[in-house]
Amino acid sequence: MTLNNRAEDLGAALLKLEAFLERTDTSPKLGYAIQLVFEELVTNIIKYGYDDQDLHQIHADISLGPPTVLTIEDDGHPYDPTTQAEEVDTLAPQEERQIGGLGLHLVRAQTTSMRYARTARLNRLELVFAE
Amino acid sequence: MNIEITQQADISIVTVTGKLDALTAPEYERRLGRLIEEGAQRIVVDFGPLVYVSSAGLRALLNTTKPLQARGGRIVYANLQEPVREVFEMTALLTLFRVHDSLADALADV
Repeated sequence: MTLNNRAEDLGAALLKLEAFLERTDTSPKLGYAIQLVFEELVTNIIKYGYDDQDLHQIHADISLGPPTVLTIEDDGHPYDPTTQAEEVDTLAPQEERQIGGLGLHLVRAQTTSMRYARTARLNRLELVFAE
Repeated sequence: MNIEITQQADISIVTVTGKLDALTAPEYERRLGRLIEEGAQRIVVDFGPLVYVSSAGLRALLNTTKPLQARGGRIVYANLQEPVREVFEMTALLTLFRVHDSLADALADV
């Protein structure tokens, strides 16, 4: 699946992903995890990945397992979520910065491993899910 | 996502069906924001038919809880289904919000 770095494209992609998962025999629990991880990471790319206003393409690929692997590629700033410090797993309502770290916290909680590579100006993130 | 708001005496009951995600969170914030601006002081959010929440949805809950509490109001969440409850647990939101297993308990606590 390919989408542009626009909020409205994320909405359409979420619907497409949900429809795809419904057509497969993916368990509800795994389906939830895949949708959540996809949404959190693509949201971060759209929000923080680019300084310019240009259209950029984000690519996502799902290989249903076991193990199920989600791969996301983007040409935004180099960003390796595997080396980001783990946010505390609580958050204070008034702390916007902590809320920002919430998405990555959820991604870690829903996956068994993450592998990052930066090649040819692309971020490539591979996420493995528990079955 | 579908939002239905009903009144039971001075309590507003907000039933949220479907998914609370990046796509629908702005609409949730708008509807709850309007309800609070109109003077609602006691709100119960029934998440029984809610099947999905992401951090965008959690952010919407935080953004609507703050202005209500600033006005001295109360909001209680009820009926979290298992996958939604798990996301709340992962983020420790269960300790920040008032959450009840049943609508009746939520109505008694709001």
